[in-house]
Amino acid sequence: MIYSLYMSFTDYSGSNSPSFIGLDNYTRMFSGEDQYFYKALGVTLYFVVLSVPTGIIYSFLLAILLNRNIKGKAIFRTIFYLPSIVPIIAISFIWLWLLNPDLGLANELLRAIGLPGSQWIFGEKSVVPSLALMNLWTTGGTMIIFLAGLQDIPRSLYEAIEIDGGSKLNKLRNITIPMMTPTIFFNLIMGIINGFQVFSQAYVMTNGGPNNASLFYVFYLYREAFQFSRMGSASAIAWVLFIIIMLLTYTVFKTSKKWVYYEGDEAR
Amino acid sequence: MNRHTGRTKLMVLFLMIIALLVTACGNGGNQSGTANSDSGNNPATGEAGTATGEKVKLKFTFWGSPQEKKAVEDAIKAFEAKNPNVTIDSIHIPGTDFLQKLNAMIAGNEAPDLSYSAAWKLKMGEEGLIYNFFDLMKDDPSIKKEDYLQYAWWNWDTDKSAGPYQASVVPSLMYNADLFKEAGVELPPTKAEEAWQWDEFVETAKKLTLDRNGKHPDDPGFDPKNIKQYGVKYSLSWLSYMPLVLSNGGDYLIGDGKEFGLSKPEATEAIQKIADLINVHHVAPSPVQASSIPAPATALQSRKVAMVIDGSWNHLDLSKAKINWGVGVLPVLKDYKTFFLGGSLIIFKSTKHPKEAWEFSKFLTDPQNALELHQGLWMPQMKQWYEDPKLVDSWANEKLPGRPAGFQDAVMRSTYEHAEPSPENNIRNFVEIDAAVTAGLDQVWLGTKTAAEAMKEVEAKVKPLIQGTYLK
Repeated sequence: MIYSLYMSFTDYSGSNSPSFIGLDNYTRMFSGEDQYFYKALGVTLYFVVLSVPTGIIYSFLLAILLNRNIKGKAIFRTIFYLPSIVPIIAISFIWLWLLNPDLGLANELLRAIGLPGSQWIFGEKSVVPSLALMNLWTTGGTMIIFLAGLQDIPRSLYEAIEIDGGSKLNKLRNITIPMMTPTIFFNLIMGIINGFQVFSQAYVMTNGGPNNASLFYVFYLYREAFQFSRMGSASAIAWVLFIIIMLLTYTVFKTSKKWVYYEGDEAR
Repeated sequence: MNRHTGRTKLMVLFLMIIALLVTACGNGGNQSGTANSDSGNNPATGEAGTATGEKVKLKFTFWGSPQEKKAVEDAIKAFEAKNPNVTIDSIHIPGTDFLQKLNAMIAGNEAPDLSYSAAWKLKMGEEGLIYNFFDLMKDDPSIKKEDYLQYAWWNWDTDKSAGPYQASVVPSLMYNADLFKEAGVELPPTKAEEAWQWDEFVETAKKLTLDRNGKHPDDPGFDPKNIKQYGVKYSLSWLSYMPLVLSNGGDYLIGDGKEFGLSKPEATEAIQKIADLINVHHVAPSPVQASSIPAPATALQSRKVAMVIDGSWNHLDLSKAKINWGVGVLPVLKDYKTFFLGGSLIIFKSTKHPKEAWEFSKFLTDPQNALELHQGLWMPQMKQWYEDPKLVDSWANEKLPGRPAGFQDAVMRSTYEHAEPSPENNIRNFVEIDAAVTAGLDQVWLGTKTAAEAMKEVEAKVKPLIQGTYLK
C-alpha cells in the first residue's frame, strides 16, 4: 500500500521503470485535464446516495419481517440471504437478462400492470438507479446482521411497552430503532465503503456506458491501469478514493455521537 | 467501565474498516509493487546470438480460440521439427487479462521471449522493452519491408516498428442467402466497382426486415417495437463505421493527423446514416435490441438478421454453422475504401536468443506454416500471397469450407485494392481517443443526439490526445 503511494507520484505504465513526476498525477485529476475523474466521482456518489439508504431500509424491514414467528421462517431467511452468496458476476448476468428492455422480466411486469417500460441499464438516466435496484438483491448479509441485532433486544423492554398499552408502532419507534442504531451505524459504514468500490456491474453489464453514465470510480481506475496502461496515475486515483472513504467514515463517526445509542452507555 | 464498552465497540469498528481498506488496496498495491521490482535493471542481452547446435528454449505467449490454439501449436511442432535445437515453451493466455499476466511476467523477470500483442505494444516500444523490427530486418536479407502490405505495420515512431501484422482480418458483409431467396432479393454484389450505393443498401435491408406480422418497414401498420428479423446488424465499433466514413471522404484524423476528423461533415454524415438505419429506417437493431441478438454466425443462422457487417473472423464460425451463407462488398457513399487489421509478434529485448526468436516470428508470420488458419480465419499480410495465383489458390480457393463463393472478389481483392490504414495502428493514443468517441457515439446510436452534435462534444474532449499518426 505504501509502495502504491510512491507509485502515485511516478509515471509508470506497468512495464517500464517508474520515473518520479511529483504531483502531476494528482493535478491532472483535480484540474479536470483527466476528463473522467469528476464524472466517475459523480456517478459513484450518485450510486452510493441511492443504494446505501435503500439497501439499509430494505434489509432492515426484511429483517423485522423475518424476525417474526412465522411458519417457514428458516426457509424465508435462507431465500432472502441466498443471493448474497452468489458471485456478483453471476448476479450481473441474471440481471442483464431481467433488465433487458425488449425481452426482460422487469419490463414484462411493468407492461402487465399498464406502465411503460424502462430502458434500464441502456438509458443514460436510468442506468445508475437500475444498478441500485439490483443492489437490493444482494443485501442479504446486511439483513443477517440486522437480524442478529434484533434478537439481541431484551424481551423485557417490549413487555414494558405492552403493559403500558403501546402499539406496534410505538415498539418500533421507541425500542427497536433506538436499540438498533449501533447496527444501523455499522451497516451504514459498510454500505458506504462497498458502494464506493462497486465495479463488477459496470465491468460485466454496461462497460461504463452508455456515454460513461455508469463509469464507476473503481471501473475508471481499472481502465486507467489496464486499458490506458497508466499504473502511476491509477495509484493516485486509488489513493484519492482511500482518502474520500476515510473522510466520509470519519464524518459519519462524528455525527454518530448524536444518534447512535449504546446499551452500555449511561442513561441520558 | 460503562463508557468503555462504547469506545471499545467504536475502536473495533474502526479497526475493521482499516483492515478492509488495507486488504482492498493491498491487492492493487501488490500488483504494482511486484511489477516494479526488477524491470528497471534488466540489461538487454541482445548480442547473445547463439551458435547453432546449442539447446535453446523460447517462451512464447499468445491468445486465441481453441481452434487457433491448436493451429498455433501445430505450427510450433513444425518449427521444432525444422529446428531441432529449439524448443518452444508456449503459454496460451485466453481472456481479457492477457496484458495483466504479461506485465506480471515482465515484472517477475520471467518475460517471454516473444508474444502476441495488441495496441499496448507501442508503449513497450517507447520504453525500449521490445526489439525494433526494422533493426532485426536489416540483418536478414530474406525479408524486405516492401514484401508486406503497405499499412500492415505497428510503429511507435518513424522507422521504429513493433512488427507487421502477424495475420490480418477485415471488415466484412456476411449474409444468409436463404433469407434473400425467400424475400426475392438479389444477393449483395461482390465486386467493389458494383458496391451498393447507400440508398440501394437501405432499400434491400427494408425488404429483408420483418415485424412479427410479416410486415416491412414501409408497410402501413409496421410495428418497429416487435421486429422479428432485421435486415442488417451493423456492429457499432470503429471497425464497421470507419469504412463508410472513409468512403465518404472523411477520416478519423485530418490535416496530417493534427485535427479530429470525425466531427467534420463527411464523417458525421456517414455515422448519421448508420444511426438512421436504427432510428429512422428500423432495419437494424439498436444497442438495446442488439443485446438480445446472439453472435453474428448464430444470428444469421437463427434468422434474427439477414446481413451482418462485422469482422471477417466470423467466417470461421459461419463455416461451421452449416448454413447457406455468403459474403459481399460493403455498401458505399462515394468511393470504396476499407482496411486490414491485426496484431503483431513482438520480441522482448530481455530474450537471450534474439536470433531464434526472430526465426520463429518469421516462421509463424508465413501463411505457409499456419495454412489451416489462413483458410478460414486469417488473411495473409505479404503482398505475394495476393499476387501469385498459386499462393492465392492455397488460402482463398472458394472451394475451401471457410471461403464462400465470391470471397476472392468481395473480401480479398476489394480490401487489397482499396486498403487504407486502419485507425488502430495508425493513430497515436488511439485507445484513449476511441474510449471518448465510443462514449459519444452511444448517444447517437440511441438517437438522443445527432452525429454532428455528439462528435462536436467529443472533439473538445480528445483535443489534447490528438498527436498525429504513424503510417500516413
